[in-house]
Amino acid sequence: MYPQNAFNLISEIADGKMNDLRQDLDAIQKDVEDNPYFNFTTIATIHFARFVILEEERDSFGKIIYPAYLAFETNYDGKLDDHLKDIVEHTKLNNGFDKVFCACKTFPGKDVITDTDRINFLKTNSQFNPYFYRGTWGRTVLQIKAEEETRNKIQSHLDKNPHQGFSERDMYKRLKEDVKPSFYNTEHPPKLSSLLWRLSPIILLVLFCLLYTLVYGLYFVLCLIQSWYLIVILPLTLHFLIIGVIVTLALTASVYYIILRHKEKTDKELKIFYDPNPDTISLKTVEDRIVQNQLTHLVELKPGSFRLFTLKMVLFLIETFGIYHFNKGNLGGIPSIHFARWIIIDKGKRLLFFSNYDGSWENYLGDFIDRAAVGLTAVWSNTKLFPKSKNLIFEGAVDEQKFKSWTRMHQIPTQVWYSAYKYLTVGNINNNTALQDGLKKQTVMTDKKLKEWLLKI
Amino acid sequence: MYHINSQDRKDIQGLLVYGYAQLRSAYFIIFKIENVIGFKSWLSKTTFHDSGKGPEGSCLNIAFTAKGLEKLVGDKSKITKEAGFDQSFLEGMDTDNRNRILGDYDYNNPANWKWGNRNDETHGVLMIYAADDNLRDQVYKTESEKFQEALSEKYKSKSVRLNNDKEHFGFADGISQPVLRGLERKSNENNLINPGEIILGHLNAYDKRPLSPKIDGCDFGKNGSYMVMRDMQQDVKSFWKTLMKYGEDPIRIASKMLGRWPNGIPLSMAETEAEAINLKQEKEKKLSRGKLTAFLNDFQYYENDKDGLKCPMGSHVRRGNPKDTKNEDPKHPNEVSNKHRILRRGKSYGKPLAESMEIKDLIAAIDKPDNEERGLNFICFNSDIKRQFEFIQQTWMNNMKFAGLYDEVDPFVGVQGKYDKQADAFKMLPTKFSEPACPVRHKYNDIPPFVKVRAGGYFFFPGISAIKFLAE
Repeated sequence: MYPQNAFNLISEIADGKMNDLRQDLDAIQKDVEDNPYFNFTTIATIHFARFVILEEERDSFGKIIYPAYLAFETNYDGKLDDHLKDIVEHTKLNNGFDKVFCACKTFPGKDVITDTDRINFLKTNSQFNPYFYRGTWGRTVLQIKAEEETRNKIQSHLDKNPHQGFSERDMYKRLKEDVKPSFYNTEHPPKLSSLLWRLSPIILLVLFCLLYTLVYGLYFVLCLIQSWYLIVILPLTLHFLIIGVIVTLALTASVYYIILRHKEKTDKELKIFYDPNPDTISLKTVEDRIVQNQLTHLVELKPGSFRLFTLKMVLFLIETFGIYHFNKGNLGGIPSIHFARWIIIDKGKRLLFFSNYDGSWENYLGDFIDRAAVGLTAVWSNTKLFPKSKNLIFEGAVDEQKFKSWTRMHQIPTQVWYSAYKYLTVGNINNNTALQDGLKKQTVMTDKKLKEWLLKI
Repeated sequence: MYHINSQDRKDIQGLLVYGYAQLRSAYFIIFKIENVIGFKSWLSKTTFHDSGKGPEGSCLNIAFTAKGLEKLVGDKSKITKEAGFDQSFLEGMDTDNRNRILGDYDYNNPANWKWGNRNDETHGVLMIYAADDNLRDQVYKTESEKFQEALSEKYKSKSVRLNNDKEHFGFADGISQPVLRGLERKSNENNLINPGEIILGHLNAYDKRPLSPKIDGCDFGKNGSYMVMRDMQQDVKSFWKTLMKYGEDPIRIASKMLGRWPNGIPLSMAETEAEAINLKQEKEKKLSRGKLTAFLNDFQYYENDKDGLKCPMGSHVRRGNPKDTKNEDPKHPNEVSNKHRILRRGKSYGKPLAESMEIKDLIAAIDKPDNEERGLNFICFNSDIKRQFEFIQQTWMNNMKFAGLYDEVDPFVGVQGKYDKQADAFKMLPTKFSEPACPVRHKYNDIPPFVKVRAGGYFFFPGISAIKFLAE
């Protein structure tokens, strides 16, 4: 159980409901903080939320490949049941909940819909396994807002009162007397060592196998040289199984690698250096309005179970490292992601990506390339037309112009997007917590620590 | 691998490589092509200075907007992204989305620009550089007799050279510049960038060739560059009046905002202005002009100034090139920030508030009646406008959150905007500036805008052979 979680609903849109849905979503987005239908601001557990329409796709004969879906995602605090209750509770006013979700095929078609029906609807349409990353680990929306308020109090205290000539100790004492910190405690992320502890049975098993092969191999060679046939046969039958497993694993890995390299050499890649998407202008129109930005990205996987398997393996690793290692607001070196998630949809045919990040698109993509190219090449090289990769993690995204063109090509519009703290970056949130912790401290800080703390103001 | 051979050098227009600091007088003529045949004939007979040899006497350089190229090539479908042109260049500087990220709204609104807004027919800029005013006027007279039928002048800006290479606020200008690998100039390793960051047809920071246009089989982009021009009007009186308000030592505070002392010495090399003056005099005696510039750029942030106690995070110089502020990779400290560099080639215009350009004289003149329009014709070169010029303006200058800050933009060229729901437009707010200090930061609130954008455009700065192609 983690303090922040991801909810995602993806549900097919019913025939004839699309136009109404678009209008409703537009109306919500127009005043996303204060609209009468879907008032996110009143749902105190939401960090970020969005509605996205995944458009229908047809082949050249007009046959539907993918139907149109409505996707709804939230990044929320606490337990799922409480969160869903919260959503239903705060959006049924003015019929907002039913108005939006009645566009879905599976929405209950009864005359009277109860809250239980609504919650069930949310639950049954959210059976996806998202691979989830949290940038601001362990802080609830309420804590983030309270800590920002504390910082503002410190700032206005300093703006109003002179502090020239104060010693550092005096300054700290003054602030401690005048500014009351919030009472929230930060829940700390699990440490990498706890992962190692959890994985210890596997690690031991692997070590055992290696040791075993070595010892047994030596023993076997020795027996051959000395012609002790009888002694050889007995342990051979006994331990045949273990040896078999080891050899099979090694063979599988080699076969996997050979297939991978073959695919990497023959897969098609995007050949152009410019952004081919005519909708980019409208995507840009909604960007850079507040401090954060959002990205919704949808792309088809390369065909075959090989790519699907690889993708799942890579995403699992990224999620695990996100929990145990990259949990200080820094995903593989990118310091600006609040939350991100990958969802595999359409029975393993498409990959959907949602991200909430700070600053400009150009900066975000630049960070991707300069700091995290390895990880994201491992993910997206399994999808169509991605720039050529090598050994799963190399090249690929480093091909800057092609990679940026490819990203814009598959970026899709987000109809509704809400942020609970639209003027705070991941860096600000981390800094506010550090300020808070310093203000709450009961023990005496060393001179060095105190200096560092004062510089955070 | 990065070497620019002599053939390429002869193909690159001279301004890019030489900068023409010694050619004191210049005209920037914003023009519209009236007669294509006449213009082509003038173009084919005119010699534009190339980088094969240094400048002597006078030099001509030329650059075109997307509209200008369409007019000359005579076929809109050849000036497209599919042909390899930069998207920002094709769309132009004045678009709704770009206004928002560049800060071109409110007092910078392109509707009030002298030239270059979306309704305006600017086709190019002709740049005349000369050793002195007489020669410049003479060259202008000869040329204008030749091209008078072919084009009309929309705007003519006369440059001015200010005392001690300063800009109008009183600070030494043009120091922070990247050095191009392969141009045989010495620089510290951290300040070197690959030639393809500026010149098309060469390898860029990712060791790839930047997108470069081709027209009818001609390698049109080769040895060209994208040139950004912005007319930035400076309100010198308001600047120094505001700083006087902030305290006893306006020069110190202004230097903190800029990131260098008035004579160009970086804040990390000198604690006081007096120290900076001594250091500069000492170095001027020992070093040549080129080496002095290299010296003035030879400093890093992380090791000695990671908290900005010397050079504040929010200062203009640190925002313009944060170097190793984030300290991601100690082995290649500037690798990430070096992907967003530009080569600046601007020149000031308008009479200075005080001829000497000494700040005490500028301050003494703040109440003098004067209606002179003064500012900087900002010019820069890059090969990918959105990754370089636009990135710097949006992600570094206009970013309230730059390097961990909360609520302030560049005190000189930043625009702090907020979306106004009622007006459905962005409105400008006065900005702030924080100076890290002991025991706690100083904060300067309510900083009004000192610089207003009065015109601007994106140009293609073709190589000599591309100019010949256009003239055919």
